[in-house]
Amino acid sequence: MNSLPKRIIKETERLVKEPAPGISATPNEENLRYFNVVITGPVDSPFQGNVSHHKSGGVFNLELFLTDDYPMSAPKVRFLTKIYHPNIDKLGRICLDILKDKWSPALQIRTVLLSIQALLSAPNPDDPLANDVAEHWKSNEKDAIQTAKEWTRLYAA
Amino acid sequence: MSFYRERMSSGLDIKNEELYGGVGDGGVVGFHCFSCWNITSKMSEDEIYDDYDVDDDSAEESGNESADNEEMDYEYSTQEIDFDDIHSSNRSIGKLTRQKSFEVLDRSELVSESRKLIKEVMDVLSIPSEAAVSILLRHMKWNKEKLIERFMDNQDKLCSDAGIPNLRLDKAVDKSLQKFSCLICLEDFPPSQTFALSCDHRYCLACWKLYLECKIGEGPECIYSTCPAPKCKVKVHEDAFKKLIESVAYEKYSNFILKSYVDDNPQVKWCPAPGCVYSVRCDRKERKEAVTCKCGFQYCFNCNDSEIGDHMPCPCSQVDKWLQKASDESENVTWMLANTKKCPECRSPIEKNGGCMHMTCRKNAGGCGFEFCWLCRGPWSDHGSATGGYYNCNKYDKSKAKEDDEKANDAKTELEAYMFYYHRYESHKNAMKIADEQRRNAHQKEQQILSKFDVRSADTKFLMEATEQLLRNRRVLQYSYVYGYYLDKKSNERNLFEYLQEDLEKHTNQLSTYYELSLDKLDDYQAFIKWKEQVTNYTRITKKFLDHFVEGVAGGLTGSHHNN
Repeated sequence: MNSLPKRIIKETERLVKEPAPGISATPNEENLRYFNVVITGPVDSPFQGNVSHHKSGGVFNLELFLTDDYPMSAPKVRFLTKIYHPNIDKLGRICLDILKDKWSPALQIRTVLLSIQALLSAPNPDDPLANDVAEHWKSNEKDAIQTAKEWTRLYAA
Repeated sequence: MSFYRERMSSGLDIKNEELYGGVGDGGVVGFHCFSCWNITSKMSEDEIYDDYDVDDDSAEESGNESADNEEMDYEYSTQEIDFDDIHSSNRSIGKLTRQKSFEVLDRSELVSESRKLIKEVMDVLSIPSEAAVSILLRHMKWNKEKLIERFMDNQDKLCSDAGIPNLRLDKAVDKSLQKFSCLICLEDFPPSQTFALSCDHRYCLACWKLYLECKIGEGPECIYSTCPAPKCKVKVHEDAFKKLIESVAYEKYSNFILKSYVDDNPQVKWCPAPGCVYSVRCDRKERKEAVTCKCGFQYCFNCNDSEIGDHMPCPCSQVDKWLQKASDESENVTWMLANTKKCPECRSPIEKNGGCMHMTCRKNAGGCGFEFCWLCRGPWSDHGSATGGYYNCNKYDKSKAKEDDEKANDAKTELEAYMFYYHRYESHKNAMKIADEQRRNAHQKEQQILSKFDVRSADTKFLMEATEQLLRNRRVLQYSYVYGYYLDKKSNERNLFEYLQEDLEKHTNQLSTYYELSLDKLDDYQAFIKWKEQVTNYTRITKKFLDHFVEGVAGGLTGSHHNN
């Protein structure tokens, strides 16, 4: 394996030492470019765990991979936990500009994960990846949020 | 010009007239000669002189002069020539319409052209920086007038839209800075090893290099690369590229700039021939003739397609229609309509390939099992003695089947017409496909001639000329069938066109026969010279015929309306 660029080592150190609130990223021992990521659903979003039922919930697992071109090309990130969200499809792929054409090498793993967390708080059904979900969101937001909560309870516990 | 006319009205013409005096009248009924038709072409005198390029013509003239003089030595034994240049002035018109109105550009010419454009804008707008103007021009798709207009209108907005706010290029490093931490590689550098555009997003030189080279690797869009900072819209200018990356990568980048110069410019296009590096400028909007690239490829500038090439005498729109027709399914449908009837019950198409009129729509072929009469499409159970015997039918006329049959007949005629033209189009096209092989064979033959007869290599030049002429003939013939297919079925234009087309076929075949003569049949030098003269002579005759044909067809043969 190629030696790890200094930038990745520094980023990893900081992620582990001072994790962002609600986000944890742990590098895989065998492949330091592969990270297991856990994001907690933001408070007041349908992806927040249900506190009143004394269940810890709203925990979403993701995988993140840094390609050889990183940081010149964006990391590859995907949800592993099923989620009902207009910008995330059933394979867990995420529609987020900074992961595509708006990527900048000055962005970092931390900023990417914070953006994903923000996306959970502010779904954008006008730029959908999962069309049916987005349609649901637009036609009956209340109902869609209910489904999202249900999915969080079912899959993100 | 006057020299030319004078020369043309000299003895040569008289000789021509003597030679062909009667042929024109006898051959083409009702029309004198091709030169006359040129008068009917839609060009006014002014237009003609607009395109007249003195330098170019004088060169051609001197070339032609020797050719014409040479011509006088040849005997025109063939009676197949229906026309030639009789009226000197008309001849000039034909010649002028063939003036070059295009220009082949190589890489260095493109570079200096684009540089010149940048310089012009720099002068007009008093912008001192070439790199800045380059960004502005690319932003405006290399449209100088639009750029100047927008710049005058709202300079600040244009500049920030283009990604070069206030026309500033780089931001000098702050001298007081001791140590700098690059936000991309997260390492520390002395300020001297950093760079920032006007937006002051500073990164180390190594990261800049990696970033820009990565962008170049992504393709032509790299010329619109922005500063690496998130959401920053400031464009990376040419000088920065030059300063920050290796020269090999920079060359790639400059090629992409040239590419955008050509791609954004409707008057300049890359030669479509595979692997060709030249581009062609053609200023005329509606150019009928083909352009010829320095690589030797001749093609229609408008279509710009290596497959189509030169499609004279067809207008582009017809070629489009023809290719569409050949590629879509409509001909299958036409065939079905012409050759099948539908089962009256289940509408499955049925082809009758023999046997009596008693048809059964076979279930095992996906049909419904219905039995019917092929002629009247009525149920077979109705047939018997009342219809004139079990296997006869006299109900035909009464049924609506007749209408169907007429429709089928029309379709059949139309299909047959199409097949006729397509077949001929295709066979000439196939001849074009083996053009390279033909050229190789011609070279071989040249070598054989050189070894068999003790001649100079200049003496074999005629063989290549004949080869190229044959190829040109085939291509014109190929597209003439497209043209013929779309010609009004009953017009005078069509009669004349087909007459000339047939002649062109004849000439082509004749040239081909002469040309393909086996060297074994040439016993001595004398025989070779005779053969050479024959081929040379006929190549010239064919060329003239072809040029007139193409010109005449494009201008309208009968002078009537022509939908080009």
